[in-house]
Amino acid sequence: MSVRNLIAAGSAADLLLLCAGLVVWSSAFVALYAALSLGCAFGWDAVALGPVSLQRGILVGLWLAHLALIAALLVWLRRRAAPTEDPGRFLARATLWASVVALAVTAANYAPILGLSACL
Amino acid sequence: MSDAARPLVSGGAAPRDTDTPEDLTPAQRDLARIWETPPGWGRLAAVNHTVLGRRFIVAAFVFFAIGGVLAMLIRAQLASPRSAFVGPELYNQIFTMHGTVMMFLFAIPMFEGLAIYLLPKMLGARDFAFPRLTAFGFWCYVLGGTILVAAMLLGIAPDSGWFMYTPLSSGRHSPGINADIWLLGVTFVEISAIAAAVEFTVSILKFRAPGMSLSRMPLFGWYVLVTAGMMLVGFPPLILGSVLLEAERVLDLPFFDPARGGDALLWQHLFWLFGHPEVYIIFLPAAGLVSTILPVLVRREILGYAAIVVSITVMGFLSFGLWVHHMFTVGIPHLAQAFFSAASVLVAIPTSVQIFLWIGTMMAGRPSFSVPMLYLVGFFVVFVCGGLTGVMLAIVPFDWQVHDTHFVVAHMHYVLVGGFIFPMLAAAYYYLPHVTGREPLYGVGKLAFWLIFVGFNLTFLIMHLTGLLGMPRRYASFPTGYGWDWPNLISSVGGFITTAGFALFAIDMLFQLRFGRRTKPDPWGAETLEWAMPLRPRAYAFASLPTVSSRTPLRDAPGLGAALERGEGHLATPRNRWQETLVVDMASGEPEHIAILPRPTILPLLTALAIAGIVLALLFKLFWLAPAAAAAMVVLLLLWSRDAGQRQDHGLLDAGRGLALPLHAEVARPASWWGVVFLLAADATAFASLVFGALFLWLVAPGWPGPEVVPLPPAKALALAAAVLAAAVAGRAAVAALRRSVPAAALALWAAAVAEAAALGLALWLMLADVPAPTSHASLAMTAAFLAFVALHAGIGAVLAALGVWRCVAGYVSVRRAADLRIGVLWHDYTAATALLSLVFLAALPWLVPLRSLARP
Amino acid sequence: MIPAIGVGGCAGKLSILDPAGPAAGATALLWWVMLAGATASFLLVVALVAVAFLRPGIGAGIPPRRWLVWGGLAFPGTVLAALLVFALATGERLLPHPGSGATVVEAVPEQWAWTFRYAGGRETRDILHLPAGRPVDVRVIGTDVIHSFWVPRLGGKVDAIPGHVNTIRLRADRPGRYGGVCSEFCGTGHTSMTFTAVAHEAGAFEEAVSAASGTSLEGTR
Repeated sequence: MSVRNLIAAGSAADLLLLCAGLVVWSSAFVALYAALSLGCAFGWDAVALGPVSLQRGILVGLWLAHLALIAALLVWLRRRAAPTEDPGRFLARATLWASVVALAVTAANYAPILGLSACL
Repeated sequence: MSDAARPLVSGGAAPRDTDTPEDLTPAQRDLARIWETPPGWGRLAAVNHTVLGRRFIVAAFVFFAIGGVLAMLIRAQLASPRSAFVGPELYNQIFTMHGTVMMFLFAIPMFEGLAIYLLPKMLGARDFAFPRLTAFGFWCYVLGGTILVAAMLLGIAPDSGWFMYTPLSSGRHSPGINADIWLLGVTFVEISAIAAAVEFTVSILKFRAPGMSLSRMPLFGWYVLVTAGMMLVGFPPLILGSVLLEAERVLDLPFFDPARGGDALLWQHLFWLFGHPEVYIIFLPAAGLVSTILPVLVRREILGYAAIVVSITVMGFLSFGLWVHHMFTVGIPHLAQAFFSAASVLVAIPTSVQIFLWIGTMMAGRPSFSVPMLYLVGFFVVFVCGGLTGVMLAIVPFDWQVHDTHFVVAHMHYVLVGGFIFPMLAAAYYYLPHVTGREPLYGVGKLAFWLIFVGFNLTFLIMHLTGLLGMPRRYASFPTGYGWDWPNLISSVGGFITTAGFALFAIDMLFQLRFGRRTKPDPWGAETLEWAMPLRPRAYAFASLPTVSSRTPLRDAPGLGAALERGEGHLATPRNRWQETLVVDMASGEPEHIAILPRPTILPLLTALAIAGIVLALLFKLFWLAPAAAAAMVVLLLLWSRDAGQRQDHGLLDAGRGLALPLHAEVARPASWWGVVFLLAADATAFASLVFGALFLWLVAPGWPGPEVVPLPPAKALALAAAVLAAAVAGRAAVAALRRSVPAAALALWAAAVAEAAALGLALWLMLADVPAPTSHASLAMTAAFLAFVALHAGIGAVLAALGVWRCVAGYVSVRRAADLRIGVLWHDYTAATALLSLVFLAALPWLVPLRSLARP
Repeated sequence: MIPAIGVGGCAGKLSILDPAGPAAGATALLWWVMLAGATASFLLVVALVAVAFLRPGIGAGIPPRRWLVWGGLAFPGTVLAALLVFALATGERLLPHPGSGATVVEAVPEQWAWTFRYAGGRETRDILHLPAGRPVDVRVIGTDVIHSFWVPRLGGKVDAIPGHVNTIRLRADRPGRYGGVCSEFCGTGHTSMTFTAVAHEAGAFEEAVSAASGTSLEGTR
């Protein structure tokens, strides 16, 4: 039994992957809260961008970008050759679920962007 | 457990301590000699997880009793409109200390204590990765807690509320020592939280039984892993906030002073960025105990293992998106509040996933009313109530009404008592046979339950109404005529009934220690490894280490405990008086190497005492003493490395059962490497919080743009950048040079030490010479803070590199034993990265500041 | 709007359950709706736990996925989504939208008393005068430490953060006296830092402010 083979370099990466979708949710949180604060401070809500304000345009854009990122992650997770035996199989399955949850949470969490007034 | 185990544990007539030496095999006698904590004064040198876990639990319970007495004083004060017996000055100290003691000195340490006691045994290891760090954390906790309680006895306790909102806690509005005691004392205690978080993360990921892949890990391991990860990210914002506030109080740096470009809201953000995850840091381990105990008591494996793992991972993340729901009334745009409101509501979903899976497990099994089960039912009733009012408080308009009223007080107690104390009481009755080797006297436990359960609900159910009737929290007394009289009286009566229940619980614990019947091994018929040992557990936990092939090793092999005692597992025969345990691959649980753990030492205590010296010097404004204590701390910390590592290569060693593994000193990534990775993750969170703080002030604080920010002199700034980069390059060169010779590596390390020292000097020089009047405006104070951050890390880098040189000279380093140098690489790289980011930020600041004048007033 | 029934304390001068304006009314409605939903959810959980004890093994045949999907996801997901939409819409209505012709007053809390400022430089102390039946925007101005402006029967609270100004929109449906408190802990005088909001018939408001501020700046208690 070679020691080198036992130290699977992928271990830590697998655990990070479990968190990947939720990290994107966190990134969306930071980006949207920051963009909202900046926009309200610098008056982006008063600038028209087609039918909506610049403020709302930027927020929706950031939101969709993060959703697309998680969707891409999901596509990649479905396509990759996931291990068929434990523990890899367990982590792969948990990662897939966590990413689906991250997509749902990111969709629901920031949906108020569509309706509420931005800077009151 | 099978009868095969019986000969190995003493019968009912045996004396109450562990087995007499005759019962032990020669190998076990050797193990006992190697692992046992010395008697007498040697107890102060304890590093063993069983010993320290017990001490943590006892200390936390003592602080719980102190917090409980304070709670009784509060209820006596508020029993009726005429019952106030102290004025607001003292009352403010009482409720501030009640919250502070319960949060920082009871809840977190109690969970840490239980996890310290249980985790290695559950995971099939003999101890944690860093036993001395466990001891160090314990002493920091006890000394910090003692400072806080002593201040209370002297009548100078903190009095600004347990979340210490500034400017009330600022130098102007709290000129006394009270607020300093909170900021320094709690930060001292936080050291133990960070220590525990690093300890848990590394140990759960690496110190498990061979074959225990992540999918076979007991759920409690997952819960604590997520919790520890949250602590690494959650505590640094509070530590940073406390340091900044203390700097404002001592050095007059205006981070929170709105007159000089600071903002009180920054404190609230930093505090709640910690404070809300904190609630989940307290709840998750308790939920982990429910997931551990409940299936055993209903004789049914838990439903949805994977779903629970995903749930707690999701909760770990979501809990960082809730903090502003403590700040819905501070004037944040409704849309931003909606983000936090939605996240607060969403976090209820992974919670209810767990609740329904627990219920499903109960329904599938056969529950009976044992004492732990009674407390678990109490948990369901009380915690679900608290969760439901939690959803209500997440609803923005409703929160605008009940925020800062007794409704919030009631909710918070339902969540913390329901979500933490009831599971802990269940765990106390469930694990007591494990800790003491004796069975509790059951009738008393049931009576205590009913007193606590009825008393608690009497106190806090009615308190929701008190809040709805408009009574704000933190009132030192109340007038009659608002409908508050009866609810408060009922709460007070209930409070005293609850206290009687807890007193009875304490008496029950003491009595069973004395009079309880000796328990048989695994009295509950549990199937996890912590029960695969004779009770009480011995210092080495496992006489030999098990191999695991499922989540229920004791079901697979009912005689496992006895077999391990006979030495049929790994590492059965000690050698060289080494404290050995196995380290595995993170995901697969394949054995990777053997770790030799450090022997008992008094260094953790001495180091904690040195830090106590720093704290006391700052408290009593003896500024000449602080550097001396700090120097003592550094010297003591350097002494820690004396016993770590090996002076020769050992190659592959026999690990039992045909397995040959290297020692930890001879692998690329030993536990200490991972420990530094996670420590740096926490450090990076503190750095990110500092960046957030600076940008927040720039965008939000009144009084910007302040005075013109002069760019740092380019020559010095570039020299600083060059120095940190040179240190990083030299650190890597040392690892490469090791292949040629150890002296070559030492030479490269010298270069790294010199470069880091130069960086330290340059950062200090810039801070002192090129930041004009940092007390005049927050932009300048922040500049100084960034430079201080760089200086601190460069200074530590210089010491680390110099230590590396010594380790090379003293023979601890070889081509195979290069972990010291790899850890150095981590540090120098991190220091370079944060220093360069700081310099970029400081270079951008003079451009950024004028932009603020374009913002709305 | 909401019948003040059942709870004995509803007559209290600071009771959230006895709303006297649209903001407090909307919140009280939210409370009763949430209380009903929470009680039902609580009873469901307790009933399931009770069944587990009364009929051991009854759920042995239920697949985990069913608990996960229905109990863990679908049930709370539906209820919470509905609640969130309802609550955010309510919150949106209560915001001080511009262009509604609201009367503007300023509240200036300092340790440990309230000063209220009105158009024309008029001031009162510890008594806030309002016109009944009309929206009023209270601009809460931060001074020394953090305080919080709260008239429970009229609506939610908003903090006075040093260096910042926060606005809250209130409306008293009827003339009358409504209790107000500082609800953020602000030091030793926190408990006694109360005030009274007096709502006048719309026509009598200006006159009342002038009379009150003219008599004495030290208050009219």
